[in-house]
Order: sequence, then structure tokens, then C-alpha cells
Amino acid sequence: MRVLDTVFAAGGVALLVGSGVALAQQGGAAPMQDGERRADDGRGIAAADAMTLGEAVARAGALGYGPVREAEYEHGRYEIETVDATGRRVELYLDAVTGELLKIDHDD
Amino acid sequence: MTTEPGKAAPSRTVKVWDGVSRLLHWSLAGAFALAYATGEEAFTVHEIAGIAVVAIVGLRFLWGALGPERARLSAFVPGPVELGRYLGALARGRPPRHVGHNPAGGLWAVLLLLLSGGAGVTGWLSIAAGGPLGRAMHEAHEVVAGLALAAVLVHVAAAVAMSLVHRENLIRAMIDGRKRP
Repeated sequence: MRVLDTVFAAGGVALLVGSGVALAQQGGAAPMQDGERRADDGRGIAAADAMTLGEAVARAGALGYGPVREAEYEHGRYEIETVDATGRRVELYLDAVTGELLKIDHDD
Repeated sequence: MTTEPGKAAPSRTVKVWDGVSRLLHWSLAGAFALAYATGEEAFTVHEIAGIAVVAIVGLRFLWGALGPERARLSAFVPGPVELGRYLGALARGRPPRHVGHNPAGGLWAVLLLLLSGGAGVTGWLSIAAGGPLGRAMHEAHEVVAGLALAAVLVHVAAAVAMSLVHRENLIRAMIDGRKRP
């Protein structure tokens, strides 16, 4: 058996075990980290304690951004396409529960 | 090679791709397409399709380690000299025909498995991990899935182009497993 065969066999077993674990977890709650509040019901819909889309857009405005071109909820965050004070296009990532600004992507 | 009586093999073709490889090839194509189509919505379907992609890649890795010689992934990965010679001939517009994979095609098949499997694993980690790792995996998932789609498009274009160059139907060969020798 060549070395590569062994590598592929080991990788195959790992992926099969991993997909089995993922399937078992699917639909159940994802494991939570200490101190983390998850704003996602696992199906791309904001949980009850998350900000609404309108509140997220208002939050972007309060942070000095706008106007908003597009806002989307995904995996516990709002992704907001907007422009900063200098008119540069940015993408903001807001925690859907706390409103914390997690990340700013500059679309160049 | 023996021929079953009353069920003679079509003349002048040989069996190249085994049934397990072909089944895994088309199920991976289907699961990947479903996962890609549902990426922006239908999250439950997207997750299950992604898990199926990972499981199929896992099975293909195992089959590629334990299956028949033609299905062996270690045989798909060409040496640098072999690959260089083939790419040189391709650049001159005269790629030699191979009954199995040509060196670039074999390497590309392994790349497709790694990228589609990688898209599934990063996607799962983006949900399961949470915190900064989860966010990094979310970004990685989008990049890897995009690369996987690009690699699929190259793969399909190459299959069509090589079918024309060598005047054979490579898509049908992946369905019935047979090619001319």
C-alpha cells in the first residue's frame, strides 16, 4: 500500500465520522461557548432576542454609516452593505443580539 | 477479460470506470449542486446537502485507497515530470489521449474532492465552532465553496473540450463506464 493510499484512507474515515457527527447534531442546537449568546435558531432566522433588521440598520446609522444598500441576517449576525463617512463602500458585521460591531470589510 | 454469454460487451470498448466510482461521482455532483443552489436560503437543505458532500468525499477517499487500481486516488496524482510533459503537449495543442485520466485530469479530480470536502468541513465548523473561529470559518467557507465551483466549471469545460479533441463522449463514459481502448 502506497503512502498516499494510507493518507486517503485515513482522510476518508475522518470525513465519514465527521459527517456522521454533523448529521447527528443537525437540527439540534449547536454547541454553545461560555458566555456566548446565540442569535440564530440554526435555520437562518433571527431568534426572539435578536435585533430586527430595522434596528440593525438604525444601529449602522448610529455608528456613523449610511445610507444602507443591503442588510442580511446570517448565522447570528447582520451583514450590512453601506458606505462610511468618506463615501467608501464597507460591509459591517453586527452581532444580532448585542449590536456589537464585529468586523468591517472594505470593498475595494 | 471474459465475456458473459448472451451479454457481449459492446464491441471495441473497455471498462474504465467502476460502478462505485461512477455512483459517487454523480452523487457528489448532485449534492454539491444542491448545496450551492441553497447556499443563501433553505438552510436546513443546505446543511444536509453539505453533510452529504462530506460523506461522499469520505467514501471516495476510502474507495480511492482500497478500491480497484483504476479508482486509486494515488494513481490520479501525477509526478511533476509526467504532469509537465502533458501540459507542454497541451500547450502545443497536441495532448496525447489517455484511456484513464490524463495527468491534469487526475490531479483535478483530487483537487475537486479536496475543495468540495473542504467547503463542507469549513461550513460545518462555521456553525459548530462559534466565536472568532466560527467567523473565520464562515469567511473560509464562502471562499472555498467559490473555488470549488470554479474548479467544477473548469472540470466540465475540460471534459467537453477533450471529448471534442479526441472524438469521444467522456460524459457518457462516466455514465456507462466504458471507453474505446
